[in-house]
Amino acid sequence: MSDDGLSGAGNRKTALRLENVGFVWPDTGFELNVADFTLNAGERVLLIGESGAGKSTLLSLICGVLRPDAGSIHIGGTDITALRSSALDRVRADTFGIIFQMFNLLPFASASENVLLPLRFARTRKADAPRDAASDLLIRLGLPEDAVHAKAGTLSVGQQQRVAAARALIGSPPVVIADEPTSALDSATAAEFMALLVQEMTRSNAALLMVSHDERLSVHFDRVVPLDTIARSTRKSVA
Amino acid sequence: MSLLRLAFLSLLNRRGTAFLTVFCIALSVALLLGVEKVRNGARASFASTISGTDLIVGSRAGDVQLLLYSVFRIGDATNNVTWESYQEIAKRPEVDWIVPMSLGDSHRGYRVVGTTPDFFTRYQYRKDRALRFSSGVAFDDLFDAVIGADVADALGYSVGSPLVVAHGTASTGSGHDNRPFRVSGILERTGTPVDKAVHVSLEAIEAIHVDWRSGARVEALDIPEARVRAMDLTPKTVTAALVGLKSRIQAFRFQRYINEYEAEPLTAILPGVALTRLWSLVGIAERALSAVSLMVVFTALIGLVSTLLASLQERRREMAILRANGARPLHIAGLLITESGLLTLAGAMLGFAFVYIGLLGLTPWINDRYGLSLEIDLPTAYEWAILAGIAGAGFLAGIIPAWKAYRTSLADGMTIRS
Repeated sequence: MSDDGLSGAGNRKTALRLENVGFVWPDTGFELNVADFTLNAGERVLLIGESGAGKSTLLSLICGVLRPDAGSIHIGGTDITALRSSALDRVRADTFGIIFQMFNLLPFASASENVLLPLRFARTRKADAPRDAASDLLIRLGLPEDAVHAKAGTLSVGQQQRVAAARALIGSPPVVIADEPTSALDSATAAEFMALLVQEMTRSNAALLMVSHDERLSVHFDRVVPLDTIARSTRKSVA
Repeated sequence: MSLLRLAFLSLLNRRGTAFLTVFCIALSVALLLGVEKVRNGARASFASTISGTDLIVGSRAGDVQLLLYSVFRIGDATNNVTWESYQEIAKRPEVDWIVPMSLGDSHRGYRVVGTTPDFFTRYQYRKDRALRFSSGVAFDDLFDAVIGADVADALGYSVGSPLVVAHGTASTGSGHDNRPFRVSGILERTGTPVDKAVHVSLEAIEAIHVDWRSGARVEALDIPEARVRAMDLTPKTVTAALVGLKSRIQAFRFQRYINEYEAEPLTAILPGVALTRLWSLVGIAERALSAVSLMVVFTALIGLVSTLLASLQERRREMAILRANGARPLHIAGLLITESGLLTLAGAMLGFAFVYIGLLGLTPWINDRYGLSLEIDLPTAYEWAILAGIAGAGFLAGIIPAWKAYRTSLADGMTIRS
């Protein structure tokens, strides 16, 4: 493990690592087992999987929202499965930027207020964000200047996705998690969005873990990992 | 973005239900403060039903009883004060002025007060307000009557209207219909029992009873009016007397003099002291009113909790978004408590505004119509305490939905599970 909390892996540091992780949804009996998965710092990985394969469950485990029944999840050098709930919340706030499939913006807040939201709860990301970070980031991601202070609920789908991306990137979190962020966009907008996202990822040197069923996105990533090569999912009948 | 701004924006997003909740709290706060104002006004009005009078003298009785029949015209005196005693008291060097009152008759349910014209100049209420005539004048003739504003309004009387006094205070009492009176004057509204009284001269009380013996009219006597007018109509007794002293510091000593009066058993009361004692007896009604108002506020706060609880289900997505962006369950709980506090504060301030706008608009009318001494002044320390208490209760009320949101957000995490 390195001094900065990121563990070394050859010449790249490890951003997160899952080992022998097992989780069962008690109500449905859906079971997900991940033998070994590593995301290096600054690396861009695309996880490909069908609907219902457990992509969202895997992301929830990685973000510490769900606690695994077995195994360990290391964020930097910390095993988050051993953390108390409040410490886990802090790690999540400081480590992850998350882009949702349906954007999940607060419609009543402005675009810039949505972007600044994670800084309200994070400690280290707050320090990394310059004063006009939200506006600069939104404009770099292609949001028109007059939309920066518009309510998120009034923006177009493409604009909302840019706001969601900016929110994930604000304060330079070490890891950005993206859950099918282009599924609601047309192909041209999706391509433009991906180009801008990759550009920002390169600038911040954050790791990107994206789940999608769209293999055409693979050109933007260092690695493409089919979910079924790292994880096994089964659905048992519940008594 | 601070939790306060987040709560404000979220409430703005649900402005319909938020407004209704605020309005509900505002109405309850307005009711509570309004009742408080009216309560204080009623107490002030009650305490100043009679002022400028240092003592009230009557036959031996309890001080509240004497106050009730002499000022409020409730109940009857068990005995009278002889005219000789009255005269002796009136001649005392301490006495500046004295106004006799003779009670016992009525007119259509309104008490008749036999007195002297001095009553209209000496009787004061609300510190230093004197009686004023809205029309007509005081007694000009033996059978003239001066009526209060309520009597005039209720019976539709104006100056010149005839009225017949009934013997006794029961509405079915037989009448002195052989000696009708004429309304010579109508008093302006005072908000005191004067409004509900018919005032005639002491001599008139004697005059209508000259052909009465042992509480019944003797038809055979039937003395002509001209002869009555020529008779000596000096009363033999009076029911009570209002006394003004040359120096107020003599009040206690003079009261003792009256209470130890040797010729007959008499009682003297200090009106202010007796009024305060009487208010403490009837004050249970004001406390009941305050209790009802507090219950209304409590109900509004329950409504606030219900509204916040009902909104939680539709806001699970909002909470999940916050959680995904690093908010801890305590942040979510804090947000709900902040919202509850904001709604209560807004309601309390709006309620405050309602009361003062209402006071500005209605005080002259209420004072005139009901004689309530309402004052438009800054909130008292007690009223501030009430508001602070309500605001505090609003924050506390937020704990219930906050706890529910805390539990829900823990269970939901970043995704909503139904």
